[in-house]
Amino acid sequence: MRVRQVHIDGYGRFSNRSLSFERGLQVIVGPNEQGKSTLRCFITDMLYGQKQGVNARAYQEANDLRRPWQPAERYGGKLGYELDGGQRFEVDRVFARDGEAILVFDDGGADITGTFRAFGNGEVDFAGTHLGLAKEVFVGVATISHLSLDDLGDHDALERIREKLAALADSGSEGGSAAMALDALAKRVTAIGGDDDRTRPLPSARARLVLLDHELSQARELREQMMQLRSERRTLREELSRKRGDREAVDESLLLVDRHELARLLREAEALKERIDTATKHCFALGAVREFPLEKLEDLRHAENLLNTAILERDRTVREAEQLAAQLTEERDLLGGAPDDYADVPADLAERHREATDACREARTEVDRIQARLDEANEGLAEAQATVADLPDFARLSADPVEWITQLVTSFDVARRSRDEETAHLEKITAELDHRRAEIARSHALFKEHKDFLDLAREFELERRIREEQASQQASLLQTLEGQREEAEEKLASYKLLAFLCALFLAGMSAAWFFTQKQVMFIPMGVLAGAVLFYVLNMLLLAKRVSSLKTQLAAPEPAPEEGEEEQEDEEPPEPGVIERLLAESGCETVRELEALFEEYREASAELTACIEVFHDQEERAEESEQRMPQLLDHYRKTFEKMGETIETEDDVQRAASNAIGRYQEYREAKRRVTDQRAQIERIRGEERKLQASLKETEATLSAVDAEVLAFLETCRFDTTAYEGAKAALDAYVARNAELRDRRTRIAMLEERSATLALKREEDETDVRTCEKALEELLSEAGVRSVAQWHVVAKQAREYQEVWERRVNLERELSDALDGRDLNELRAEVAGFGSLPEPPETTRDTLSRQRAELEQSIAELKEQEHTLHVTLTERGAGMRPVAEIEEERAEAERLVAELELELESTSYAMALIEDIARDKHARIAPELARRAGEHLGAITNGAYSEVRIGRDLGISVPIPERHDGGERPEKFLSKGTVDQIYLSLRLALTQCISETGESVPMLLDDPLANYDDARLERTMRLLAELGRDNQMFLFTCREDVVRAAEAVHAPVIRL
Amino acid sequence: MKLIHTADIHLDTSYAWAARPGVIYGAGFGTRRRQNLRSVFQGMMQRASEWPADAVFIAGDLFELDRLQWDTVAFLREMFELIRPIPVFIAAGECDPCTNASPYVCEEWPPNVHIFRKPVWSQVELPGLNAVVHGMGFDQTAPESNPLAEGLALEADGRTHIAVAHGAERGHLPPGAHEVMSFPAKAMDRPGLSYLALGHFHEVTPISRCTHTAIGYPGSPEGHGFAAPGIHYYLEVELGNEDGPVVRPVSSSRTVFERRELDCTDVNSSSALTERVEALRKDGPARALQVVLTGRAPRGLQSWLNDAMARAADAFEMLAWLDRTVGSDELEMLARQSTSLGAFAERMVKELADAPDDARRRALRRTAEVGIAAYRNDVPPLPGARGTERAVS
Repeated sequence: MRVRQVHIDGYGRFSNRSLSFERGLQVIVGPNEQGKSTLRCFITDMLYGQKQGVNARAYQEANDLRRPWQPAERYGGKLGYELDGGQRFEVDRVFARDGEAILVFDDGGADITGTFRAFGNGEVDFAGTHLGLAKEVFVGVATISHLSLDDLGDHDALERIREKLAALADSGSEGGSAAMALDALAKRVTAIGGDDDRTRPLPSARARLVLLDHELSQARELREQMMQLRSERRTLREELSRKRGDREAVDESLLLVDRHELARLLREAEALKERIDTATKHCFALGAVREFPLEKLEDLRHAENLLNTAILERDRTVREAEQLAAQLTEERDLLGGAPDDYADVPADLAERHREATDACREARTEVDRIQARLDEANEGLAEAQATVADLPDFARLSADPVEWITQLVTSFDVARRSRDEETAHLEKITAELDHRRAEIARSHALFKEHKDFLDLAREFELERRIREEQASQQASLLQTLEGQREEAEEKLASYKLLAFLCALFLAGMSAAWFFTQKQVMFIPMGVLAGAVLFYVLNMLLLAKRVSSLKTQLAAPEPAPEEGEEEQEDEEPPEPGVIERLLAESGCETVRELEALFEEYREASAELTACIEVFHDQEERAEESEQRMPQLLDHYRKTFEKMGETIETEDDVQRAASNAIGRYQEYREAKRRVTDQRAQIERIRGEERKLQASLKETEATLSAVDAEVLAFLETCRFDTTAYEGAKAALDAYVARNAELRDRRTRIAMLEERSATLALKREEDETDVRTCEKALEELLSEAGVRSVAQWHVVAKQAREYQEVWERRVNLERELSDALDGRDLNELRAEVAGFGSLPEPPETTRDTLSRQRAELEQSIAELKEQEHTLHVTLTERGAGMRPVAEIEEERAEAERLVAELELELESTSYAMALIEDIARDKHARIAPELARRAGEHLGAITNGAYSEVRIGRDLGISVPIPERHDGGERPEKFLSKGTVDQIYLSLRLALTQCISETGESVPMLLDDPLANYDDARLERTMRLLAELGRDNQMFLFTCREDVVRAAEAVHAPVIRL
Repeated sequence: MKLIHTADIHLDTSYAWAARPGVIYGAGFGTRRRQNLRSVFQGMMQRASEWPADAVFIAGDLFELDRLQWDTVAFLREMFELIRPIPVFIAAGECDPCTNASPYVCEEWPPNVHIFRKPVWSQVELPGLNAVVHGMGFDQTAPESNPLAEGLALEADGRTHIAVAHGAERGHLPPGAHEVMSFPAKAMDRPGLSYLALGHFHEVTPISRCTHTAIGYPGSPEGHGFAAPGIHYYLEVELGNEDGPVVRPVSSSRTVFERRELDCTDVNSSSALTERVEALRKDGPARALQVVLTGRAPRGLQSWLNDAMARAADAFEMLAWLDRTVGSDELEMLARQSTSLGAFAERMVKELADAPDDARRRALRRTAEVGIAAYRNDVPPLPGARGTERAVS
């Protein structure tokens, strides 16, 4: 694009001012405050307007700043421009807010404003369309003001240039690089927070949401529980209401029952009252005995009893004295004239006589007992001897018969088991033999006639191979013949065709010769005839050959096979044997048949070995079998001696057991004979000793008897009536004891008689005392006798009973009325009127029912109260569900918003990073190339290379240092840094246009630090670049003007 | 005969729906709103007592069973006691069905309260008024039977018959309302039935084209959201006049939900937007305003929209906005630049065009906003939690 001219109606200090511009570099010069920046802004505003954005209706600050200083026709102007393609346009703008207008005309003067996109704020996007740059980018990139250069500084200048360059490349603005954007976004992501950072908004909000979810679920659960509790409470209340109804019904029944009870009570009270009146009358009639001392009745009875008792005691004493006197008389009569003195038997004599008598009796008892034992031993001896006599005499058979019999039995068992084993082994071998024979039977049937089978098989195999080779050769021959036949047939067809064609030509030639009669035609005709003949002959030969081949192919068997067949006819058996064996065995190949034969051979060998074993075993079994009868006969005889009979082999064990049992019986009997004999000898010795002792004891007893008899005679006791001294002594002792008893009893009776006499006097005194006491009591009651006392007492008791009955009745009445007044009761009952029938249930039952109901009601009330308390407690701590839901929704909203922010920010970061990296990588080489060229031009090759990395990192190699070094700006002058920046900005402006349209550059005095040489070269560079991009160099410096003039750049002075 | 007819009070309802982007409200908004609902109900009961009404009809959704606070039950008991002996007829509705756990069943109510609990017609005679009240209620959220569709069989007995129920008349179903216990008006337009007190629609809706029966929805007496904006009413009904029933809507709103459009094309700053929104405030009841932003979105609208609205929100009970502005040209303009910002914008334009759904589109739009703002070193602040005074959702 090239700005051709401007006409400023009114804009800042300019008023009605027109300027025309050239295509390339031009310098606009003027002192400060002469409008250089105003003109630059005018151009920008004419292209892009003064709105803050593409949609905002708001104006930038420039709208006020650039208002015309002088009165002007209008706030605005015109700008004409031309595109690289040659199209020309003119823009007419009014910036005044109240008359804002924009019109775009083409070079024909037609209004084409409507062909451009219009923004919501009224702006028209013609500049963006033609330049491919938004306003920000145009202002940022195409405008290089001295302000941009001032802050480069001495240090880190290249880094700052890099930042500015990156920002321009990234956003078209020096303040908005992708790196800064990424940094801001990263901070934002951090600020939102991740899972690890609990204090950031997102994790906090998530945690809050979880808490609220939990609280909400708890609240809902609690609500459910409370609903359940309320439902239970409703049920309780219904139950309570029903119980209360029941209680009221019971109360009504109770009231009715109570009224009936009161009526009944009144009736009872009336009856009691009547009975009390009757009792009162009766008491009045018995009033005379009211004071009778009924309380003395017991005293009276006591006195009467005492008197009667005293009389009876006195009478009994009298009777007892009389009986005692009679007994005394009888005892004295019985004692009669018995002597008063008698001697007692001496104690030692009685003792010695008793000891001698006891010793003699014991000795006799011992003698009798030893005699009995002797008889018993003799009987045992006889019995044992009889047993021994009945048993075989084992002592003669063996020293240890048990071991001997056991050995016999063991030997017999060994022989028998050996025979059984041999027999079983024989049977097993026989079975195996049969099995082997059965196994081998089929193979044996096949091969028994062909012991030379292997030779036959080898021959058969050899012949088979020969036949196969012959067949193969025949097939090959047939194939060759078939090929020859086909070839011959093909040639035959060809020859036929050629012969036909030649014949045809020959015929044609003949016809031609017939009509032309030219002899020259004989030559080709002859050739053709020869050819026909040649082909016909070949046809005939080939036909014969084909026929011969067909005959050969059609032949059924080739000659060699026929020869073999004849041979087979001569010797048919051997091949036939193998084929028959194959057929019978079911084998498919001779190999299988050979394997079968091998198996047969091995099985035959094993069978032979097995037969030999069988014969050996048969001999051993027969031998064992023959030995057993001899052994049995020998055992039969042996055991006959021991009293046992053996018929079969099975009897041996039984006979042995019986024999051992007999031997044990024999041994026991022998032992008993010996024992009895020894015992008899021992008893006889004891008997002898006892007989001697008995004689001695009897002698001692005789001496003591004599001494006793002598004593009794001394006492004049008649001993003749007694047998022996002992009986006499016993009788003497008995008589003395009887006399002593009788005398004692008489003394006692006499003493008792004296006592009874005294007691009789005392009894008489008691009787008199009791009679006096009874008389006193009767006189106190005013009666004369006990009988009269009782009559009067009966009347007095009747009075008391009637009186007590009356008192009881009054008490009953009082109890029945229970504090009520009878008259009030009568009035109350009278007030009931006619009562309905009472319920069938009793009052107790009703009371019980009521009590139960009361209890149920109390329990229900308690339960209801408990539920109420529970509900109150639970409800008290519960936040409203709606409130929790609202808070939860708020937390959820916040989480969603923050997650959206996180997602959006992260995605923006990823995109920006990718895009910026790509953009930087793409732009860097072109930017470096152009900037290097420009810098080289400015510095005259002193610095001809600018290196730009993928991150737009800038370095400038310094030739003197022969390296790119770190921070080369440390070694560069301020002017050089400015020149590097200018080179880069120029290069960027060249690269930045999206449409490829050249972008006018507005350079606001960027050459402040340039020396003359570089200023001149820079000017040349700008002039050169001006061929592609229009250049507006705004300056106030004359040296710049001179430099511009040196390159023939037009100068516009303001 | 004078009746108060109301419905759909939704005591203890939740305002969780408000917690979404583009809604600002003060702390305790839900609590205040629920208290407002009680106040409105109390006002109606006072009116019934002072007028005095012969009966009060509550045609369903008196409260929300799922969120019911039991002190609300005490409140209702107190209110019904207040107007005793004026009879109160309640038809259990969709949100307050008469389940076993419902306070309609579990709690004791004053004797002047009659609750229609089952989805079958039942009746209560009012001998003093020579009238019969018919009613039916929900015993679950979606009852199996539909007595409204089956109609109400009446005998001409010279008495005034009034019915109360909760259901949707098909011919007047508002957009977005769901059909529950739906019925055609003719099913209930019966000779002898003087008035059918209905509930379910949240806006006052008289049912037209009825020849015998006056049928009406009072709507909710207090707005519940922007779905049913404007002033809300309850109905005062007079029966027995020679000219037929007189149905008179009485304003009861304490907070008016309102929706207004605002053209943002020439809004160029946050403060300007605040001023424009504040200008929408009116005198009268508290306002819950939903601003529909239209026109072309100015550059930076998204970045300062929240702040602008937050400043304006002080003038309202609730301030919500819907951004219906036409997409900014800025993104497309940026996309034409040969800068990395331009490449980013170009990528965003392309992805937005290919976005499969609104969620992705929203995320991409936010990505573009944040990315561009980052280039300009003007990253918008993060969304925050509910503040002590006001919250920006």
